Amino acid sequence: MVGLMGLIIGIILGIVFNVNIPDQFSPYMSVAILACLDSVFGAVRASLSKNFQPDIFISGFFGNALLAAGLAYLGDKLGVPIYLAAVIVFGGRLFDNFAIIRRLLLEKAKSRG
Amino acid sequence: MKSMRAQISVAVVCAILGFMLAYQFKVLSNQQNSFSLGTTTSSDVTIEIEQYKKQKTELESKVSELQGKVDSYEKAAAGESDASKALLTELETSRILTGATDIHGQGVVIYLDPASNLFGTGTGSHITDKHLVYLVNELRFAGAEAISINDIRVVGLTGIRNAGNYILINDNDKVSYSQKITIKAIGNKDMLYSGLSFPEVFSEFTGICDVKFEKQDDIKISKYTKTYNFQYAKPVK
Repeated sequence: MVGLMGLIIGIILGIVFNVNIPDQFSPYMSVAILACLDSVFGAVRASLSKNFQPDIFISGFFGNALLAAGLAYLGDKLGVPIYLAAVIVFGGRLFDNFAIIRRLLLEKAKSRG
Repeated sequence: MKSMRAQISVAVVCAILGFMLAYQFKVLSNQQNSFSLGTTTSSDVTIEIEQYKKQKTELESKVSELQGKVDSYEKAAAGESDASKALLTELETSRILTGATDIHGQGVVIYLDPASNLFGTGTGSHITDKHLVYLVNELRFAGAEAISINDIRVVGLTGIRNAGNYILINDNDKVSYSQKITIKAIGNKDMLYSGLSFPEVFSEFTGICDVKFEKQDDIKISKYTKTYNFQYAKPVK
C-alpha cells in the first residue's frame, strides 16, 4: 500500500518536474529501471511469502540499479553489449518473480475460498 | 517504530522508481516526437521527386519553346541591317562558347568501359575525376570546340570532382565510375583523333578501364542546363 502511494508520488514528480538528466545517460537509465523493477517485484514476492526485509530490498534496489547501469556503461566503453546480460537476467527474474507472485496469490485465494 | 521506518523507506524507494519510470517515459516520447518531426516516408519523397521531374520536363519544353520564339525574333531583327546580322553571328558564337545551345558537328567519341572486377584481378583503382579532367584537357588541347561527358556539357565554369561513389560534374550531375562513360567532343575529327592516338595519352587508364575512341561525322551535344549567375565577377570599367 505504502509502496503504491510512493510509486504514484514518484510518477507525479517525474511528470511535473523537468529534471534534466543528460541524454547520454538515457540507455543506462533504462537498464537501471529494469533492475529497480526486478527489485520491486522481488519485494512484492517476499512480502507475500512473509519474509520481506526492508534493508535487503533497499540495498538490492540501489545496488542492482547501480550495478546494471555501471555494467552497461562499462560494456559501452569496451564495445561489449553487457546491457544485454542485464536485460536478460533482470527480465528473466521479473518473469520468475511474477510467476511466484501469481502462485502465491492463487494459493491465498484458494485457501480463503 | 522499526516497521514505520521500513515503510517510509519502501515508499521513498518506490517514489524513486516511479520518478525514473516517468522520466524515462517522457524522454522517450520526446525523442519520438523529435524524430517524427519533419521526417516523411520514402514513398512521399519518391512522389515528390516524380512531381519535380515532371515539372522539370514541362519547364524544359517551355524553355525550348521560348528559345524558339527568341530565335525567330532575332532573325527578324537581323534581317534589317548588316550590323544586326553581325551581332547575331556574334551572339551565336558566344552561345556556343557558353554552351547555351544544342550543337552538332564532326568530332570524336571516347568510350570508357570500366574493367570488370569479376575475378578480383582489378587493382582496386577506378576512374577518378583526375582522369576525366585530364581527358577534357587533352581534348581541348587538340582543338575540341565543345565537350560533353555522359551528355553533361562541359563549359568554362564546369568543375569535375569525386564525391563518394560518383564523379560530380557541374555541381550536381552525377557520373558513376562503375558504369560506361561516354565523352563526346566536337572539333576537327582528324585533329582530335590524332591527338588521342599518341601512345602515352591513355597510359594512365590501363588496368582501370577499356578505352575506345572513334571519329564521327555528326555528333550532337546538348546544351548546358544551368544558368550563369555571376555574383562576384564584374567587368572592370
